[in-house]
Amino acid sequence: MKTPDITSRVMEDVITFEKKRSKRFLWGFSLLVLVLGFISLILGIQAIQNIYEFQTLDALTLLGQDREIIFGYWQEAAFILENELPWDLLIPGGMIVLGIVGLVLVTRNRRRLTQKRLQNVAKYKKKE
Amino acid sequence: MTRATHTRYTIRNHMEPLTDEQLVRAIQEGDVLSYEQLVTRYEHRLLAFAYRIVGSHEAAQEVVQDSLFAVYKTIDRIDTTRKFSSYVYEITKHAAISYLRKQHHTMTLDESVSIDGDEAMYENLGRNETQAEVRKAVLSLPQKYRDVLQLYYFDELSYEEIAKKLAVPINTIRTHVRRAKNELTKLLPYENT
Repeated sequence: MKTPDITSRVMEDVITFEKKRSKRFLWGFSLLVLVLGFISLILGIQAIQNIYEFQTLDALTLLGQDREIIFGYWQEAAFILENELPWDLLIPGGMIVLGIVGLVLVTRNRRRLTQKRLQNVAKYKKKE
Repeated sequence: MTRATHTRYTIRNHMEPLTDEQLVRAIQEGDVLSYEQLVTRYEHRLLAFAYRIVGSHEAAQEVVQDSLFAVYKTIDRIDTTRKFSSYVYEITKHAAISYLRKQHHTMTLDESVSIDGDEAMYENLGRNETQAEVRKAVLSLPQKYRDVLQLYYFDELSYEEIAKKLAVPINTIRTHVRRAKNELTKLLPYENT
């Protein structure tokens, strides 16, 4: 039987597939991190503006006072913080930040693998 | 792949060829180029195997190319404790059967467009096509089933005559014919529709 150059044809398919798959993964990952990062940044900025506007952190000046005053008024300060901090912004923002950290950790191996695959793809293209 | 693993592969590379399973592991760890070695190793064997099923060089090439690419796409899920060759042959077999099935559908459609009322010609074409497909399917069966089918259907011998000729009990012949028919039903399911 005549020997066709199947190896190079299969490798061409493999390289094209790998390039597409790796790029799709890296783009997807970067986009997700960017979008989540952007959302958490907006939430963070709004939360900080809110805190400054209501001067919520002034309650913390209590910590600079004498021990007796701290013991006398800490519950009141905690109540102010609990009521005035913008939890509706801080909780989702914090969760998104945790999500980003989790995503970065979970995809660590996959990113390493993808990077190596792309290096191999580049090596193959160079060989051609 | 860690640096230690890479070094191990590289060192081994100079000493002896890697086994299929080692190559698969290397590919799973990101070494895409190792797949070239696997393809080179299997290319000819698979071509011969696919040729036996599809009966044409061009079709066999297409089938092998498709199946080797399909193997790569699923390589991350391959269990390296099992034999890689069985997996590759299995995929190629399925690809070849799909190819034949696709061919059958394409041919049927072409014919339906071009018959122009010539029913005798259409029937003749259909019969020849079916015969060719059945012959191809028979060729892909194990030898023992193939022999029995050849004698029973093509040479038109009775069970008794086949039993005598092959020096095998008549019940074995019956079993072989039944199993061969079952295998053919799997290979040519559209024949029943």
